[in-house]
Amino acid sequence: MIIFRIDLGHKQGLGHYSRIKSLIRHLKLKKYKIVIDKFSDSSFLSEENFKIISLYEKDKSFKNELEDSKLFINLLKSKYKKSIIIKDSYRLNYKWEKNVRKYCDKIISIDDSIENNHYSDVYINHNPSFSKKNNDLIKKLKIKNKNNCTFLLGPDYALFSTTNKKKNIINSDFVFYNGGSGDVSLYKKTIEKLNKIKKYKIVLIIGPYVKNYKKIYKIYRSFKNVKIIHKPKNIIDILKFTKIFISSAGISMFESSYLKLPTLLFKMNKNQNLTNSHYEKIGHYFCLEKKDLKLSNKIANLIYLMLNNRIQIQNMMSNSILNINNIKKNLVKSIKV
Amino acid sequence: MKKLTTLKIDDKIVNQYLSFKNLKVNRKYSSNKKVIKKIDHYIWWFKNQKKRESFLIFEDKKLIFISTADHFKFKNYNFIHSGLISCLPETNLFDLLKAIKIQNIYLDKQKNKHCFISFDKKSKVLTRHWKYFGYTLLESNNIFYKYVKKLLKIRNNYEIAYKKII
Repeated sequence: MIIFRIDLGHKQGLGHYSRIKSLIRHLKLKKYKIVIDKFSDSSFLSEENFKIISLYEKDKSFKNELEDSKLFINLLKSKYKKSIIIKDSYRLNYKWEKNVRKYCDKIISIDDSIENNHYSDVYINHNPSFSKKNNDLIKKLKIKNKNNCTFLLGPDYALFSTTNKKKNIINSDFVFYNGGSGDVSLYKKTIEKLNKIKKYKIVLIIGPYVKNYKKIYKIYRSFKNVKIIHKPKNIIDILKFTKIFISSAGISMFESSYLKLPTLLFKMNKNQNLTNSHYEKIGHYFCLEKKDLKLSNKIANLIYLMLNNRIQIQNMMSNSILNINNIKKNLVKSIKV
Repeated sequence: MKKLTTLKIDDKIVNQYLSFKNLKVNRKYSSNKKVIKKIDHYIWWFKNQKKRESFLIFEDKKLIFISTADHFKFKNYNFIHSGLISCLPETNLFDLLKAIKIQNIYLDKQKNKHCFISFDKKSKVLTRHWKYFGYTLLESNNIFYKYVKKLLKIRNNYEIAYKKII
């Protein structure tokens, strides 16, 4: 059995879940469970509710790594002895892994920072700035991990969705997105300015963990050319039929890179702090800061110019290093489950 | 003798191009002394880069300068405004003169065009070099003066020199 332990919800967003779903698909896993804090966080996962385990009772919540590991170990002891644990969480690191390791077959950690200490057997970090050839980085990671850990680093192990159901085709000029829990009202002024140029077909994706959905819905309801899509199962279905993607620089940047979709990225939080050359590695040449969104006139102008020059941008993306077949092959070869 | 080579630029240099433009050494000699914001640079890139012919100048595989040539029309005249962007935080007279020489090879091929350069009146190097490459100062009574000054947004503390390439 494979047990995933992940962060999910308003605070932690959807990224951890997106990454493990990609891993499940690549490794063609059937027998697995996903452990989250509470069922209340799982409303979005209704299709696979039977795979979800809530670690905390209603009146209790996460305190620290140690307490969490105790509860998790109890779960392993009672039902899932000798399982493989795949963990994607910002809150659970060395202490948690060290405790849990005695009660499982293997721990695979997924992370996107290099600052955390780990006690895992396999470490996956798909940060575009990483590569196996970077000896200084490997040295640093080895110090922060246990002996004999296998490091799967960089975009060769990128975890993102590639499935496309082709059910409801929604053609659009622009898709705006700010991750699973990001505030999409940030885009309001830019959309207003774009509307002054032309009534473009705009899709606004609202992630499943966005707070105040109703309030946001009200804001955008008056925009007749804006189609709101709440909690899509998969954004790749929507991205495939648009011309320009405007998004936070989260996991979705891998998806748009895979589709060679011209994209304007915004660094919305401290985890999204790569240098230009690292974004360029996966084909993204246009990346701005969150504060730039205040310059809505200029942003709208830039998006308009990107639309008119999208073939030029697609050519720039042509050497993007993401190759989904290689990624699948690399993951299957390195993670024997 | 170090070998100089050139390479035509492509769009993938967009971000590096900005970091070069924002180097102190370039802002010092540019009419725009302020750090250029990314958003402004991206907009400029889509609007104007296509009109500009730029190439990279390497010295033994080390990128030292970008040569720029903005092409535009005035009545029946074809104009070029040429410039150099240093790719290194510090540059020297020898590299600069070598880059100018390489740039002139390109400009000499632009037949029947008027080539303009602009430079800070205080710049000791640039106020001297134009004479040696066949340029003439653009005086205020010249028919091109008003148009070129306005189009290229050239400030009063800047000189304009030009030559016709035959």
